[in-house]
Amino acid sequence: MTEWFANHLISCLVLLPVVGMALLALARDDEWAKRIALGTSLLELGLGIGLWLGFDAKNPEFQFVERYVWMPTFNIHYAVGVDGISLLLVVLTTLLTPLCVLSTWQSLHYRLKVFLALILLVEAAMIVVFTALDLFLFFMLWEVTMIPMYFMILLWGGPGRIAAGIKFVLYSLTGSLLLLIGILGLYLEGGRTFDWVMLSHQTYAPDSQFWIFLALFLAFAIKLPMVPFHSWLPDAHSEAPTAGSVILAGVLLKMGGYGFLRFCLPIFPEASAQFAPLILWLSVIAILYGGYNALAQTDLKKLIAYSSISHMGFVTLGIFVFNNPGIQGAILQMFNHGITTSALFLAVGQLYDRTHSRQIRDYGGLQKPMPRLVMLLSIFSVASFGLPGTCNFIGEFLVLVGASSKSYIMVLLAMGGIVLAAGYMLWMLQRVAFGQMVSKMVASLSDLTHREVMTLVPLAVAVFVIGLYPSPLFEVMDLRVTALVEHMNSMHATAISALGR
Amino acid sequence: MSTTVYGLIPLLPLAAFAVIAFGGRRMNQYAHRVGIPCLAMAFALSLLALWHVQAVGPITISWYRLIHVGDLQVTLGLFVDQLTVLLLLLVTGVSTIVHVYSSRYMHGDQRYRRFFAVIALFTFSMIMLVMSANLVMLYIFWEIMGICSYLLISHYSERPSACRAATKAFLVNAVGSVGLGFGVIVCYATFRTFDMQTVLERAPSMADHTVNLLAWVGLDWPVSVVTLIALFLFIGAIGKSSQVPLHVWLPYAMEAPTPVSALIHAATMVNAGVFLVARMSPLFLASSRAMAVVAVVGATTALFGGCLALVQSDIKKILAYSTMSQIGYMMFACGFGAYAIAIFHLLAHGALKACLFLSTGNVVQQLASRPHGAESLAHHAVPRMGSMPIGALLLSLIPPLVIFSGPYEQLWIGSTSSLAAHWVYWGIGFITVLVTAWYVFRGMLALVSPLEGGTEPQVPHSGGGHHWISPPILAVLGVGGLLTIMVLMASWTWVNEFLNPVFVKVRSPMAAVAKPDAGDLLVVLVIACLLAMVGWSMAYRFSQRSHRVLRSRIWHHRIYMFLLNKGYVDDLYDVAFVTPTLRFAHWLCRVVDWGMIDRGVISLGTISVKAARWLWEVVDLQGIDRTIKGLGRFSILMARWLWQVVDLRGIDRTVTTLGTSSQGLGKWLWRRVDLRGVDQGLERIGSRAEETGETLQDLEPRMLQHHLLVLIFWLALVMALVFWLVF
Repeated sequence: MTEWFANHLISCLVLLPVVGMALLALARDDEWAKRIALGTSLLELGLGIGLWLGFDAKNPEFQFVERYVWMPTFNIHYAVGVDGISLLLVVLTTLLTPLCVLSTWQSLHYRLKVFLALILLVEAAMIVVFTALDLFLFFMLWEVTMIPMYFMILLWGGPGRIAAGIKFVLYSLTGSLLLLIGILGLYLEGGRTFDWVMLSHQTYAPDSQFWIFLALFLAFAIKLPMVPFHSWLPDAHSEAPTAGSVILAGVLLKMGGYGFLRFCLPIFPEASAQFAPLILWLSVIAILYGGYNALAQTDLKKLIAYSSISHMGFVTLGIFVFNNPGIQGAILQMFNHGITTSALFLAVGQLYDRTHSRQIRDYGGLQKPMPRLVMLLSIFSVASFGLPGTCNFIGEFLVLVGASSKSYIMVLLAMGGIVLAAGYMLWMLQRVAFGQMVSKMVASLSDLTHREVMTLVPLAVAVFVIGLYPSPLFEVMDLRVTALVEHMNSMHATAISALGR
Repeated sequence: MSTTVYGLIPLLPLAAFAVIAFGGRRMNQYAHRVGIPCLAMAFALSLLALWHVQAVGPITISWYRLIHVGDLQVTLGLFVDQLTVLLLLLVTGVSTIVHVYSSRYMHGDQRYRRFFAVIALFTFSMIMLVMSANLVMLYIFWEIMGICSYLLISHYSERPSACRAATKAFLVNAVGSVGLGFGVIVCYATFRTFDMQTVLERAPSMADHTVNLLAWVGLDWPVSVVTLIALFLFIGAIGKSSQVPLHVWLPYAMEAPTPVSALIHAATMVNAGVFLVARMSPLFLASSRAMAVVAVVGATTALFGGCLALVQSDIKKILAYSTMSQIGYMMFACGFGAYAIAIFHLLAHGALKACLFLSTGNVVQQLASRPHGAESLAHHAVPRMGSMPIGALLLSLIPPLVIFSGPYEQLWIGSTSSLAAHWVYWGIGFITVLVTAWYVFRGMLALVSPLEGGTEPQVPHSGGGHHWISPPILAVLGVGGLLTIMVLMASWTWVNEFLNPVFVKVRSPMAAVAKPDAGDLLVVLVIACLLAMVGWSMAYRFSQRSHRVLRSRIWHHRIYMFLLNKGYVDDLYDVAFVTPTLRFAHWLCRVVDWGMIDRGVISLGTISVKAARWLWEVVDLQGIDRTIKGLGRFSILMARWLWQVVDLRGIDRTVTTLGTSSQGLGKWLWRRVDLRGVDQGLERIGSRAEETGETLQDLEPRMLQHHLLVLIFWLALVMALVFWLVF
C-alpha cells in the first residue's frame, strides 16, 4: 500500500484537486463548499510535504516517475516526475492554494463554488506543468492554467476586469502559440518524440536551436514576464480577485522561470549561451524598470505587480549566468517571491475587503486601527526588498554573487534596483501605515480577524525560517543544479572544441 | 566554556528581544525587567571575554552553515579578537545604561514593548556586527541594524516628520549598503571566500591586480581591485557613520526618543563604519588611494559637522552634528593608518556621548514639562542637568582631560607624516579643535540662557506620562561616565598595546614612526589649548552679541544662512536625486510603460481589429461579396440573354421556322403529291377503297401537322445528343 502510494504520489497530487472539484459540485451550500475546498487543499499540502520528505536529495535524477502511454500514434505519454528544480515549485503551489481558499472566506459570495473549483483546477494543472516529463502533456496543461485564470479575472475581478482579462488571454495565447511552435519544432527535430529525457540528450543543429530557442524563450518571457512583454501583468494582477492575484503572482509566473530551467538551458545550451548577454541586460533593465514603475504607482496592487516584474528580473539574471549560485539563487528567488508577493497581495486584499479601495491616498495612519495588519504588512514589505534575515535576501544575494562572474556593472545596477525596492516599499508603508489617520473611514476599520491572521502567519514564519536557515531548500536542488551547470559547461566545451577543429 | 560565553553575548539580547516581542501584553509594563538583566549579563560576559582574549588571543566559533551552494559557503559564526572585545564592552555597556534609563524615560509610552524589543534587537545586531567572522554576516547585521534604526526613528509614528526621517535614514543608508554589498561581492569574486581573516591575509598580495570596469562597453579602464573593494566598503561606512556625502540622515534621526539617540550615537550605528574601516585595515592599507579618500572624507566631515553644529539651536542637533564631526575625526585617523587612536577615540567618544545624550534627554524633558521652558531652565534645571557639563567639558577636548591623548597624538602624526598634504591635514585638525570647543561651549551657554535668534529647543515627543530621571541616576551617570573616561584616559597606553596584535601587522609607514617625543607633543598641546580657548571666547562673544548683529553683516549672514541650511546639502539631494528619481519614475510609468509599451500592445489589438474590419468591409464585402454578386448578376443576365436571345429568338424561332417550313412542306406535299399524285391515284383506286377514303377524311389535316412537328423536333434533339455523345 505504502509502496503503491509512493509510486503514484504525483498522480494523487494531480487527482486530489479534481476529486475535490467533483465534491464541490455536490456541495449543499457555500459553507460546505468552503470546507471541502479547504480540506482538499490542506490534504494536498500534506501530500506536497510528503513529496518533499520522500524526495531523495542524494539522487539527481527524476523521482516519483510515472509513465503511461496516452496516444501511441504520436508517441505521447502521460509521464510525470519531480527533480530538485520542480520540487520546490510543486510545494509552493500546494502551500499557496489553501491560503487562496482562505482568502475567499468572507470576501467572496458570488458563485463561490465555481470560484473554488477554478482554484482547485489551477492547482491540479500547475502540478502537472511542473512535473510533466512529456512536452505534449506540459503544453496541454500550460494551456489549461490559462482558462480558469481568465474566468477568475473576468467574473470576480475589479472594475477594469474585462480589458485586463482579454489582455491576459491574448498575451497568453500568443505565448502558447509560440510554445506550441517550439514544441512541435522539437518534436520534428528531436526524432518524433515528446519525451523530455530523450530530447534533452540530443544535440541540435545551430540553426534549429536558434529558432526553437527563440520561440520557447518568447513564450516563457511573456509568462514570466520579462520587460518588453510585461504589460499584461499589472492589469491582470490588480484587477484579479485576491486569490487570483495570489495564484498569478505566486505560482503562474514561475512557469516562465521553470520553462527556462527545464527546456531552454538543458536542451539548447549553445543557443542559451548565445542569447545570454541579451537576456542578462533585459533582466537588469527589468529590475530597474519594475522598480521605477513601482515607485510611480498610486494603486497598491499595481505597486506590488510592478515589484514582481523587478523581482522576476533577478530570476532571469540568475538563470542566465549559468553558474551554481546564480541558478540556485534564481530558484530560491522564485520560491521566495511566491511567498512574499502572495503575502502582500493577501494583506492588501484584506484591506480591500474592508474599504474597497486600492488607492494609496485613501489610507494613512492604519497603524492605529489595524496594528496587526500593519505589522504583517511591514514584515512582508521589508522581506520584499530583500532585507537580510528574510528569505528574499538569500535569493537575491546568491543571484548577485552569480552575476558577479559575468559583469560587475550588472551587479551594481541590480543592487540599485534593491535601493529602489526599499524606496517604494518604505514609502508605501509610510503613506499607508504611519502618520495621521486620513479619514474617519480609516479610523473605523477593524483589525484582522484570527482567520485572516492565520492566512498570513504561515507565510511570515516561512519568510524568517528561509531567511535564517535556507539549507533544506538548497539541499534538494543542489545536485540537480550542479548537474545542469556541468551539463551546460560540457556542452559548451564541446561546442568550443568543435569550433576549434 | 569559552564558546558558550562568547555565544551568550549576542544571544542574550536576542533572547530579550524574543521574550519581549512574543511575551504578550504583560510586556507593555515589564519589558525592562527582561531587557536590563540580559544586557547587564552580556556586559559582564564581555568583561569576561576581555580577560579571556587578553589571555588566549583571537577566537573563531562557527555555528551553522547559512548558505552552501557549490563551492560558495557562508557560515554563521563569531570571530572575537581584541578589537571586537573593546567594542563589545562599549556596546553592551552603553546599551545596559540606555535600557536602565529608558525604563524610566519611556515609562507609560504606548509602544513600550515595541521600544524595548527593538533596542534589544538593535544591540544584538551591533554585537553580531562586531563579532562577525565573514563579510556576509557583517552585511546582514549591518542591514538589520538599519531596519532597527528605521523602527526606532519612526517610534512616534503618528508624526509624519518621524516617518519621513525614518524613511530618509533608511534610504540614505541603503545607498551606503549597496556600496558595502557590492564591495562584499567583488571581494568574493576576487578572493573566492567571504571569510574576513582570509581576505585580509591575501589582500596585500592582491594589491597589483586590476579589473577592467568598462569591459561591457568595450573600453579599457583598469582599476586596482583592492582599491575598488576598499572604496565600495567605505561607501557603506560613509552611510552608516554619517560621513560627508551621506550624512544627511543623522540630524533627522533625532526624531527618535532620546535614549535611542544615545544608543545610535554612542554605541551602535555610527560606530559601525569606523569599525568596518578598522577591521578591514589591511585591505585599506594595500591601497594608498583608498586611504587618501578615507582621510579626506574624514577631515571634511570633521570640519563640516563642526561648522554645522555652530548654528544649531536645538541641543540635540548640536550633539548630532558633533557626533558627525567626531566620527569624521576617527575616519581621519584611520586614513592615516592610526587605527588604534581611532578606536580609542571611538571608545572615549562613545562613553561621553552616551552620558551627554542621557543628560540632555532629562533637560529637554524638563523643558517640555514647563510652560516657559527656556527661562525657567536656568533656575530649575541646571542643578538637575547632572552630568551634562562634565560631558561637555570632556567633549571640548580640554587638554588635561580625556580624549586629548587620541586626537593630539593623531595631530602629531599628521604633522610628522611624510605626506605632502600634511599641512592641510594639520590645519584641518586644529580648526576642528577650535570649532569643537566653540560649539560645545555655545551649547552649554544656550542651556543657561536661551539662544537668541534660534527657536526654542524642540520637544522630541508627544507621548504622555514621561518621568524625570531621578537625580541619583543622573549622578550615577555622571560619575560613571567620568570614571569610565578617566579609566580610559589612564589606559591609553594599555589600549594601544592591547590593540597592537590587531593592527601591528598592518601598521602603516606613517604610524610606524617612533613615539612622539615630549617636546613636539608639548608644542601641539599648547597650540590646541590656545585654540580651544579661542573657541570658548568666540562662543561667549557670539552668545553675548545677538545673532541679529551677526546677520546684519552681509558675508556673516551668508555664512550663517549657509550653515543654518545645513550647507544646502539636503536641498541639493532633493533637487539632484529625490525629485528627479520620482519624476523619472512617473515619466517612465506614464510615458514609457503606459504610453508606449502598453499602448503599443493595445494598439496592436486595435490594429488587428481594424485590419479585421478592413478585411470584412473591403475584401469580404466589397471584394469577394461584390464579385460573387456580380457573378450572380452576370449569370442572371447570361441566363436572360440565353433565354431571350438564344432560346426564344434562336432556337424557338428556328424551331418555329422549321415548323412553318414543315407546314409549308406538308401543304406542298398535300397539295402536289397528295392531292394531285396520290389523290388522283387514290381516286383511281378510290372507288375501290371508298371505306378507307372515308376514314382518311376523318383525319384532320391540322393534327397531322402537329404530330409531324413534334416528331421532327425530337429527331433533331436526339441527333444533337448523339452527335454530342459521339464527338
